[in-house]
Amino acid sequence: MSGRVLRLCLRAYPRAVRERDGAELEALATDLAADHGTLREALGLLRGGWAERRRRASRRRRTAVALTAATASVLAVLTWSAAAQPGRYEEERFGCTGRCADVEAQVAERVDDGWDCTESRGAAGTTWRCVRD
Amino acid sequence: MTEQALFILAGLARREAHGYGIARDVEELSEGRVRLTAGTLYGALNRLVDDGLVEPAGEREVQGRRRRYYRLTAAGREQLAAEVARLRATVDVLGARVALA
Repeated sequence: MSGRVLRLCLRAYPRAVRERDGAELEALATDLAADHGTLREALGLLRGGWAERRRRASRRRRTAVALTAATASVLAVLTWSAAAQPGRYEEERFGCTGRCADVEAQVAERVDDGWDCTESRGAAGTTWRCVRD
Repeated sequence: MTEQALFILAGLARREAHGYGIARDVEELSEGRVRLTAGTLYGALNRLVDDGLVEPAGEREVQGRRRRYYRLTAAGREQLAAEVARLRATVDVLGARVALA
């Protein structure tokens, strides 16, 4: 009877603890129950199990907070470093009046290379603004 | 440091011991005032191990049962000596005040 009560109270501990130290804890509780009574040991196991669960939950929370803070720090450094790095943005302008076959071919080459080119037509001719990140 | 932890360290000061041995020793040292349950002892021992004051000393067969033994580390011995010195100083100060009253 005493053994069953103690085994039941051991379930207050997280499974990982029970698998690792369950037999040791049960043997210790059984020995001490013979000295001080089963009720006292049963309550001790319940209290100890709940405390262990609280301790693990708090450790998980601390780990999550630390991970979030570390991720935020890395993101902040990356963002800052990307913003501080000049020269990553390229721009070229082309223009022509009348026959523009050569210039159009150059612009087409840029577009093939992944540039983003915008064409503007006006009285003075045609211009292209090509940009690439 | 809690009174329970202090008694556990003191219990391990003389020799390695298993959980039940520690509990008995603590009860004897404190003249029955501190009686540890398995749950309390397990939690306190784990904290002391985490803090590096106590370490597992293997398992041995005692009266047909596997028992896990623990021993004091050098840091644990230092901590115990420091706590005892602190308590002694406190007792001296309070003792002098009580003698004056």
